[in-house]
Amino acid sequence: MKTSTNKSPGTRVVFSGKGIAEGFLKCIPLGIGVFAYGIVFGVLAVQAGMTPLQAQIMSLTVFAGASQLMALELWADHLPVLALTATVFAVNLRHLLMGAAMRDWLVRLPPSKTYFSLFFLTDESWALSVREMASGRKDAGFFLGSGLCIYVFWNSATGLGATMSSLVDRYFRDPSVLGLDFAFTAVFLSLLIFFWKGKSQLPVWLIAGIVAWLFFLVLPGKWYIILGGLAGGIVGALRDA
Amino acid sequence: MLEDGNLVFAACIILMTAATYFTRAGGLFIISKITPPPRISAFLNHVPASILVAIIVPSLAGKGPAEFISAAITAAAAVFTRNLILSLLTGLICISTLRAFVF
Repeated sequence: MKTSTNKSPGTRVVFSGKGIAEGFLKCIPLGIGVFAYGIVFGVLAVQAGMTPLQAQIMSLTVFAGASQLMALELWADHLPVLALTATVFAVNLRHLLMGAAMRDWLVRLPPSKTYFSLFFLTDESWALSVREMASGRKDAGFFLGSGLCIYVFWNSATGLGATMSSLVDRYFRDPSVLGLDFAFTAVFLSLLIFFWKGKSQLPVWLIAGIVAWLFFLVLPGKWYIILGGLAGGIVGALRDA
Repeated sequence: MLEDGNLVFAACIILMTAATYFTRAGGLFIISKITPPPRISAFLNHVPASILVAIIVPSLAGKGPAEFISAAITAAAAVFTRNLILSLLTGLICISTLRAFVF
């Protein structure tokens, strides 16, 4: 079991195999939801003209659900490389904010562990980890473990969907039939409830929600997530200062 | 022809991977290089819950009574159980039941 301690005294952060295992296990319900969308990606990728191997390579490297699904919209015989890169970048900008919010764990680790773990940052594993961090867990391995869990589910589902696309397409196309579209809402909502500390948070949450909803209506992609997050953060900072 | 296609695909994958990794690592990189002033710290303290709200609200906007009721019951389950799995299962049972039999 590898363990590393931080620089600043009083707030020790470790990075253990046990933490990695716990993060992985706790993330499995989310992994199952991701699995359903991974199958959809695999099927659609092949239909968009990718070979199963190409779809798998993309999931192993780019590893970003919403971005990959959006990339399929642009997939063509002559790949618009720059448009694809720009789209992926814009869709993933929200991760800048999510990564920064993990500072209590990650700035206290050796850079190799920090920047390796960050490769596996996803919305789902981040939400789970940031909650664990807020509730006082000191083992940053949890963040890597939960990310690895999503990685395993996303990639195995991509492979399954891409290689058996014609078969899968006949029986499984729409995750909403199993209520899986709602699963993510339910998870994020529950995690939000766990963040509740009192009425003083209401204005922050209200602004975040309104801003996110407005930008959801007018902007494509996932801009609404980062803009809602920024708005809530700014309101909170102005009030606390 | 195929060779060219593979080259373009490889370039595409490398650039897309760089773009996603940059967004994953960039935020922490910046914050680790500075000692955030109190206002930035306060800002970051409010970011996690705000992002969760920002994901949830649009995912429910424009949905119907099945989703609203299920969300309310999921939230109640989270309050009472303080357990992610239990509230997730509650939500899934609720949404499947409502969609199958009610709405």
